[in-house]
Amino acid sequence: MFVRLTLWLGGIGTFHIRRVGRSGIFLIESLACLLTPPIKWGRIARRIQFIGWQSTGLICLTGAFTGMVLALQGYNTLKRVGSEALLGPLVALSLIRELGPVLAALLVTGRAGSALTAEISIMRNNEQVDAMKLMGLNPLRYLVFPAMVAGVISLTILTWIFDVTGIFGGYLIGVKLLGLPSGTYFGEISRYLEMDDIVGGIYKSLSFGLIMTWICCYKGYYTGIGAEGASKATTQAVVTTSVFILIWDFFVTTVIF
Amino acid sequence: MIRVENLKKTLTGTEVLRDVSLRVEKGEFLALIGGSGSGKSVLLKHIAGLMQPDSGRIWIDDEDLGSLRGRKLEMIRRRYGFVFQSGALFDSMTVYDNLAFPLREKTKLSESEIKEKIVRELEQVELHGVESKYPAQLSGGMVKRTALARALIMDPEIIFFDEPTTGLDPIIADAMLKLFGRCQQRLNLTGIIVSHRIPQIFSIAQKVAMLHEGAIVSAPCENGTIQTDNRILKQFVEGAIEGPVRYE
Repeated sequence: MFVRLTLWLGGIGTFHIRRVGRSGIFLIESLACLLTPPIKWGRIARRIQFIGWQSTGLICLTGAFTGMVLALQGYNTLKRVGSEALLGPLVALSLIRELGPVLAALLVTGRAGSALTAEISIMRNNEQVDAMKLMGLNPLRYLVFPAMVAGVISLTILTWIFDVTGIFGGYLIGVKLLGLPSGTYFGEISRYLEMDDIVGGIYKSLSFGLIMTWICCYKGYYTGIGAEGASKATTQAVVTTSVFILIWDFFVTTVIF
Repeated sequence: MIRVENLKKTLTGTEVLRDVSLRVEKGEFLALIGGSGSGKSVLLKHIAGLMQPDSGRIWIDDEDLGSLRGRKLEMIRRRYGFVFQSGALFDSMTVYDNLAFPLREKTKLSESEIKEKIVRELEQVELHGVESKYPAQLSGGMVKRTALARALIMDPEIIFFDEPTTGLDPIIADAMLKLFGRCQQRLNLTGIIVSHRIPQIFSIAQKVAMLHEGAIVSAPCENGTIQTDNRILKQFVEGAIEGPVRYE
């Protein structure tokens, strides 16, 4: 009984260690394409268009509403302690340091990351990836590396857009609806916002972009068989990426802030 | 020349290839047959270098495929043409771009030279006016012809067909087999074709190998018939239920 339990646990342990190792090798081999030209700039541009440009509307909308909710909640809380004037810094710092990078990453994972997994998964199941290998072409260079570069660039820009629209949303609620002076709102932001806050937010969005494309591409590349396999891979990609981003966010926050 | 020696592969606990040895001479066309799920496609993917065996060796001329990595493996693969069961055309690209893709990526040909080569290749597979179409807009036969044209576009020395007539009606399937045979003969390619089209497949192959219970039974092929006394092979080719092997 004890031996069987040990063997069973050992089997599960080995299986998961092997998977972690495989995903690590996948990341290293994909990033190695940076050091071994040619770099496929056209593919990177098309991926930026898909991951970044096509997510802009979604990011603007959700960014604005996040800022508006923050302003509503923040104003009521700050009013209790007589510090309504600090509404601007509350909205801006919450967005730039935390909510902007995290929410933008989660939204882009749902919109573009899932599509990346599905696309690579279907290509894998239809043997298009094998066809590429047999042409003497490295699928990581054509499918994965451009997505990683595009993910990092796009998510960083999308996070800025999220932050800006969020601050504007907060302005609409705080200034236009609740009557806070416009000069106070922006003046207090420029007083309390430091370069470290902005740089920290950028570091977060850069790492989230890499995590999102790494996990989503990996799940697609090592997908299961058929439609069921592709569907499972897509679900796992979104869930794993979201959980990983939140865990990573905690560690990054403890280190850089 | 392709040489497979004592190949073994177990997948999810099932011994798919038990002890496979095989030899295909230069310019020879081998028909690989066997029951459904017997491991024909797995064997083909091993020879193509898409799967790694548990043990055994595969030689392409004097190169041991298992010892090759990176650039060297890429160079061997460039000598291959592979026609997949589904065609495996890139569905986001037109027929023209599917054919142009390996040329653009792996050669220094100009766009006009690429165009010339594509037109010539499409003529060879008897396909006209489809350059701007996407794979989803093609019929089953057209997909196979495009897949053949793409497999031939890099002037391979070795060609593999993995059940290339699946999903086609019998007339188109026979026409496709004849086209594959003509291309193989004209270009003097070494080839392996996995197919269930018996006996039609014997008219284009010089040798037949049957994969049965993870091992190979082979026989020469002449004038559309196989020359063998092997009872297992005979039973399979004749499609007889009664015989040394029980099919349920």
